[in-house]
Amino acid sequence: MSRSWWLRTSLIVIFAIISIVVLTPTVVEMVLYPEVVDATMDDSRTSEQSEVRNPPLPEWYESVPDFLKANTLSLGLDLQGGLLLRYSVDIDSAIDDKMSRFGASIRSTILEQKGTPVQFNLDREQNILTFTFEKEEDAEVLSSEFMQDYEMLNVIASSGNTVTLGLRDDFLRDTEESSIKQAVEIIRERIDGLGVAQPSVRVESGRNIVVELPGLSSKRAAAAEKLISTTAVLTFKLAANSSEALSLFTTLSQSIAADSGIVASAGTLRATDILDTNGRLIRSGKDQLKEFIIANESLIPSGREIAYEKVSMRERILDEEENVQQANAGKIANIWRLRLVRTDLPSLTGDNVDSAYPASNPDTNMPYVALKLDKRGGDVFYDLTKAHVGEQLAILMDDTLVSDPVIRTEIPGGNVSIEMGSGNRQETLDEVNNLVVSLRSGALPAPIRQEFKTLVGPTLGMDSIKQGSEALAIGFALVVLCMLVYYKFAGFVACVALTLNLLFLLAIMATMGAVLTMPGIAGIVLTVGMAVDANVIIFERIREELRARETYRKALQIGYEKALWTILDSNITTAIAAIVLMQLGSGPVRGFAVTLLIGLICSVYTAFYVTRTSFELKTRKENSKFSI
Amino acid sequence: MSQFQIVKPNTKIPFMANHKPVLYAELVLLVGFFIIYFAIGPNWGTSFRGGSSITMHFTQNVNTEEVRKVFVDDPRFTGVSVLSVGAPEDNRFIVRTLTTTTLTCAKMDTIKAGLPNSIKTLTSIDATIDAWPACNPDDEGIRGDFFITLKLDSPTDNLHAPVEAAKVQEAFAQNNLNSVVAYDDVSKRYIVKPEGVQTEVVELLNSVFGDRFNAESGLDEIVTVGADVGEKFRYDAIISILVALGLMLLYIAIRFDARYAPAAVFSLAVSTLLTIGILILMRMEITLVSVAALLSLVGYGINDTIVNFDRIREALTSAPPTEKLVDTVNRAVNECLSRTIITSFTTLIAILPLIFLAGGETRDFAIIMAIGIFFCTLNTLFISCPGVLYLDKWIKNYQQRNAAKLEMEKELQAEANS
Repeated sequence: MSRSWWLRTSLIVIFAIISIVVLTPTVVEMVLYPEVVDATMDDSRTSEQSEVRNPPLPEWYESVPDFLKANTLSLGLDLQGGLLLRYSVDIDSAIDDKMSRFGASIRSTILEQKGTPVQFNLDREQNILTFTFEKEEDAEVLSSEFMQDYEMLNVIASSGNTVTLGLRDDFLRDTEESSIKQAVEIIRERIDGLGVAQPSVRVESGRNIVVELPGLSSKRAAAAEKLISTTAVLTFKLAANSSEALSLFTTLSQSIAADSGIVASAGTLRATDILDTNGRLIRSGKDQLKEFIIANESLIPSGREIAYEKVSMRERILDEEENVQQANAGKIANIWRLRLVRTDLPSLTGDNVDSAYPASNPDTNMPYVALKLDKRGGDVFYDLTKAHVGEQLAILMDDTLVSDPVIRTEIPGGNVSIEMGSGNRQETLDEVNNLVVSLRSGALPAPIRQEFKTLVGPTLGMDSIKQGSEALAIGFALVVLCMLVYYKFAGFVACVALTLNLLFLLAIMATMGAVLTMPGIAGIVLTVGMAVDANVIIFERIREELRARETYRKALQIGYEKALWTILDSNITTAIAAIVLMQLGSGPVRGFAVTLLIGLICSVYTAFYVTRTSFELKTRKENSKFSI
Repeated sequence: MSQFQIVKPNTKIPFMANHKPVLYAELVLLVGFFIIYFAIGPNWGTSFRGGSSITMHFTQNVNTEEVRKVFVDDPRFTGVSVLSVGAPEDNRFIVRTLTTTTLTCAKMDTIKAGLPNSIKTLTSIDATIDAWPACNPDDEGIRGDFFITLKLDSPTDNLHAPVEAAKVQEAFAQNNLNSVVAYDDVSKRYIVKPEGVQTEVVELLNSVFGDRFNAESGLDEIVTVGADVGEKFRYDAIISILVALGLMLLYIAIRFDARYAPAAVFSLAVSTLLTIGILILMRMEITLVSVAALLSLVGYGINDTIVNFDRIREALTSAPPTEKLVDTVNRAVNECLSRTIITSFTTLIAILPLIFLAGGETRDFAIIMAIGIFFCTLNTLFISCPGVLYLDKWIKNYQQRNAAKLEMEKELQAEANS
């Protein structure tokens, strides 16, 4: 008799209590108030209704420490309804694009500076640019001094009147990574505006992007799809001067409805994202402002345009008037504000951007964004900066302002440096990287190609949950019955272990944020069937030892010892199958693999340790017996 | 104390002696399945062959034939199959079609004729269509994205789109094609991404079934997969099953003895292939979920085998020296028999309710598991365990031959020396 049995018993009890606490929100939401979940499928959701979406939790839950408060178990798209899209990012195309832009840019620069015409040819397989000059001596134009402006290219070969340029390896890698990153970033920006509860955008197996929009109705799916595949438009405009903006926003502020959530503050109008208790976005501040502006469009003077800007965290922290409040579930709600932009001047678009990359000032070591514009862009930019020194630029991604640098001096030649405000190096670096992503995504979107699409309506998921849970309940009952009849008391112990197994499995899934899918429910059913295997192995062994006239305690000990490795072996091999499956599937199938894997871990724990502890409890006396 | 036992202690069923009929019967069955495979071929699901799978439900009674007729009669849909799922009162159907778009060649021609005019009215630019996708009227039309190029009467800066992509998109919309148009300035082409089939499907069902179909919520699910992607998925699925088998072989070889691994994997491969054979025979769809079922089956089967192997290994260490290997193995398998049967039984009864309650892929999953569990259990008893004997014999023979060879070499050496 191990003396530590009480320690192990209390551990099991603690685990069980933790699991119950963790699963409380899930049970409340899915079992007690299922109609509330239904309501989330509704399109016409407003902030008032959002309170209805949060079903009442029991009072004791308030006193639970925060680290034990888990989100509700998330349902997969197949159960919840919604849209799943899988895209592949055509990186080769992005690199081709980049190379041909460099080619065109070099050609026009040479033509302008030296007046010599030059032909270029792009080898798409090798990513090599070949320039052919009319005369041999012209080829010297591509000197190392000239190439300083194109530091991402290097001269591979030069013979006679031809010069071959290649893309530097680090730049190639950088392009690959940034193409994916920017595609994810654009898509994320775009679906934020949809107001979907828990959108997810993730990279899968290197070059694929998977977008999940749970709860999206079929009606809005087409619009969402369109929104995702449209290319973002990046524009460079001039911000209107502050006094003009102030007077317009003051006029506008008189039209604010009392309960609209829009406030006039610091010379502009602001609105804050509305989140629910789980930190999910219900309605973004930008949407609130947009609606307001559309209603008051007539007040906007011609030649001016409204842009929306997310107030940066740094500014919010510096701003003493405002406390940055951690909203629900530790999420910070974004604040959006209005900006006024001029449209009566020539502007540039992302098409004029040849390249954008993070660079570092050698003197101050502060990072900045280096931007190279094409020929036309450089000319327009020169005129713009010459006429408006001291004013603010407005770099827009569609209608969102991403940066507003001050023009310090006129900028000729299209080589632009954008410096960030003062701050620590890391913060600045983050800002620089974010802006680079924005600038590139407007300019050089790697084409994304839709590979795969699943659209699930609301009723199918509800029916599936019902069928799945019924099947699980019946299967569970049958297994319990079978174990009780066959092994009696020992069978009862195994059933307790099986129940705990299910409890732990669901609790771990909720804590990890794993997603429950229909194949996942099938995985749980399978776990229920297979989990008792470990107990069957042990019990059969104990029976044999009993037949060999061992005492119950001795038989228990031998049974568990001999069965341990068998159980581990058999579960490890099943785990191998589950891990392989995780690599293969996306969405529902991945959910199955995850569920199966967690189920295996839980079942080893419960079927081995939990049952063993129970038996030891039962056989504290030397001659105790039990039915098996 | 009384015990409920399905297999009495000291049972001695001669599995080893009788493994041959089972093995041969299964091999014959496998050959049969191979013939069937080539005769009727597997029924690849949408994710593996490309196309669309549309799940819908109606508010009033509709039968499968009605739904089939609607889709078969519509030239926009090809390769249509209709399946009723769930309880009859759900009125739920899955329509599978090779169509991922409803752009027929005729429709493409109409668009081609109208597009330059629309561009002219929208932008007052005279553009002619330079390249247009080739369309074979025998096929379904244009599937997925396509490219077009435009030529202007007056040449422009060749780095930028001749006509703004947004305007081209608008022009397409004017010609009844909702799409997203983007300009690729590397290839100087417009990429046209036509809207998927869902809008058309809802319109079609609404017009035919009227009140019986709810346009808002009647469409349950649409899965659209490009044909090339389907092929990739198929390849990935096969690879993953092979990888899983390979890893298990490795694990057993490390944990046990090399002589156990081939027997286990051979038996698993036979179980998996037989299950796939029945799957094909039943014309069941092969989907990602059925691959998941097959992989779980591989896991389950190896589990079953390992438990028996463990027992054999243990029996070998305690076997009396006079006992023949066949008898030792047979004894171990028999000792383990009640566990083998009970575990298969509990897994089976846990799975069974899914067959009767769930529909679609989940039901298929349960059916595959049930069939597979039967084969896995059978093959553990009749193939894996006897297989150990074969390999043992082979290894012994090999060693004997080696020993004999060494002996002979030694003798020859001795002779040469003397």
